[in-house]
Amino acid sequence: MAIFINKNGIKKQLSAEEETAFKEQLEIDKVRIANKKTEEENTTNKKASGKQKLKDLGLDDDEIKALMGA
Amino acid sequence: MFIGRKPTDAPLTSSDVTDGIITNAKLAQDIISGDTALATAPADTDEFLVSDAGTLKRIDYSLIKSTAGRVLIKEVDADDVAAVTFEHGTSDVVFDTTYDNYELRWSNVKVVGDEQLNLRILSGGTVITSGYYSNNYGTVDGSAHNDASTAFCLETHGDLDAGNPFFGVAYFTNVGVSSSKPSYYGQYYMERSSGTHASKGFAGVYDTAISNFDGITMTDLGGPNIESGKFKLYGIT
Repeated sequence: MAIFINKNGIKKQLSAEEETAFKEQLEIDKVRIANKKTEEENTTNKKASGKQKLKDLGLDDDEIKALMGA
Repeated sequence: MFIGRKPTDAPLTSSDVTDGIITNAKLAQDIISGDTALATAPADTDEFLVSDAGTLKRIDYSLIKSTAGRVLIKEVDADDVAAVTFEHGTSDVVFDTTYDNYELRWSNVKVVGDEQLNLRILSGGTVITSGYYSNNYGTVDGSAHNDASTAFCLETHGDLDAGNPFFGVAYFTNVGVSSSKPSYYGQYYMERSSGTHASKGFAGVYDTAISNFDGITMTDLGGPNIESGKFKLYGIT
């Protein structure tokens, strides 16, 4: 499917070369975004598991919040 | 007419002329008559008459004309496109050292599906995809949400809700300035497909001194397209 952009107010179809470069960049961005999402999920999971371990040690929620800020 | 010796010429006096009979046609061209209308804005050296405490004086237009501090350079209505780009040099788009700052406003931007958009700069017409130092900060439904990236000026959440307006503003400095780091800051709002609302600020630099910062582009990172929306580029002195 052809890719169109608006450049300086004019809608234009990307040339075959431009389209290839555009799609390649999209793929790079998709990988970057996926990696970031994984990183965020890992952080969220680590927070949850860390919190649980503190609870297992006997700390209550207020004490954990005071330590972790959340 | 006279008979015999010619009488001495008598100077014309005010009392010799009846009031209200001198027409514009009788005046010489060096008289300021207002007979000809100026159909365009005055030149800087055109002059106005002014009473300076009772003494009539003239003053150059350049000394009294207003100077626009914010000039609309280009207005674009996006229509089913993958990106909206402003680049110096064509279609009356100025993006160089003409102005100290540039402002990009976007409003009612809608995407076809639940998508993600980002904003990047151009260097010599090429989109810069890395080397930024950007901080995005703000809230999602009141909860703090911050991140940093080297890949863009700003990037929305990945689920910009289709049909809801995305809007914001970005300011750019060091545009076209020799050996300078392109700098930017701004704000935006979006609704996510989850129904949450994100309000964010962003600020940063492209962390390399360049001399050819000559454009900006907002790109849809996948899915279909930017369905619609208004983009306005202003120059600010």
